[in-house]
Amino acid sequence: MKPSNTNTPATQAEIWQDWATQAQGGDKRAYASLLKEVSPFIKGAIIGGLANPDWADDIVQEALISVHKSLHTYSPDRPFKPWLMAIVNFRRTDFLRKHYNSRGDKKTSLDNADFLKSHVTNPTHSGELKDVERALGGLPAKQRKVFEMMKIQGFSAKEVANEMGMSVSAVKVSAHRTMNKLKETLG
Amino acid sequence: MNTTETLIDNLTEELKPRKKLAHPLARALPWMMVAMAYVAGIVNYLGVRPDFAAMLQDSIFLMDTGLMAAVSISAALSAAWLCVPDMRGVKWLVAVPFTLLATFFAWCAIVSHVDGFSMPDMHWDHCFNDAMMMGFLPAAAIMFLTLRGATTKPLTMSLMSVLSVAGLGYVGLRFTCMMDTIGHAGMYHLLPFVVFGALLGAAARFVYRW
Repeated sequence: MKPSNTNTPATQAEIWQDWATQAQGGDKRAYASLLKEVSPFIKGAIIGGLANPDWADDIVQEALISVHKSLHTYSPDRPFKPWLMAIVNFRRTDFLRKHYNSRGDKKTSLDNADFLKSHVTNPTHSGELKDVERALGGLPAKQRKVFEMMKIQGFSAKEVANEMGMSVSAVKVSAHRTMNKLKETLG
Repeated sequence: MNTTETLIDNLTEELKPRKKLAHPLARALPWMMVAMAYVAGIVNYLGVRPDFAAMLQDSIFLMDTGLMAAVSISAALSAAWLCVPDMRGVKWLVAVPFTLLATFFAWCAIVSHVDGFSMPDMHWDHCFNDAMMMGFLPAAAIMFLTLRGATTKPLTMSLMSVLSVAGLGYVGLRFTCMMDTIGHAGMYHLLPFVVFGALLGAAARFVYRW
């Protein structure tokens, strides 16, 4: 933390360290400032190493949720950036492992004519209920349930969060991502 | 407003004052004291081996129990530090139990080369029960300790947890069991912990998910 008896301006690292400490005490303004400043930093740090730059936002969001969950493990006597980057690298690896395990790199868009000819029952009607059901069927069970409860059955994010044992933010992010994935899959 | 900004607003709204995680040393020491007291209690309950006083003069006994005690302590410390995402900058700490374990195995290889391995017949031995009894509370306690952290290395964390319990259990079994052959130690004293380690290792990403 910046010593108070010096007149030199605080560095970015010291400011983040300060904000993180204040956030641990429940200071919402410091916390919002911290998250708003680290988001572009995280994105800048990871985007160069990703095959698809669109993934960066997903990883940034995962990292922010993880920062939120593990804020109690940050020690004010330690620099903030190494702590943050350990979380970011963990979430990036986690994201990429899930992506490649789910063969996400092998999926194709319904704009692909060859794919439509060989895999879609009625290429002129891609996006109909059967295709939506199939696309939903390819999602992990938890993600599908969140999406179905929120977007099909009409439960609120809070109700879904209570039912699934997740935070409201995690539910909203999950539903939003599922919607993006469906748009991507169904064209 | 994009999703990230919405998420930041939601997270900010959800923020509550947090109780900071204590220093890893302050978290590891109580585990060590509780686990050692428990294993000492079990050793007392099962009965110390009759030749224990003589074994305290035996260099082989002292070396392997000393090494495994050191593995246990260093692994418990590593597990406590692994609860913090960046390990507070001491990532080298996990190398200590691995090095000690490698030394232990090298020591076992030397002893078995000199004295023979004496592979026992596989059967349900009382040492399995004793190992489970000795490992139960230390394992439960280390799981409680580690699950309150936020590790970024779930597999290493599960290995450290298992090593801390295995080391202590091994020492306890050496204090109660009179079979000193490497084959017996490997089969009956270490195997239960290897099984525990394999199970925890396989489920590491699930167990330490956060």
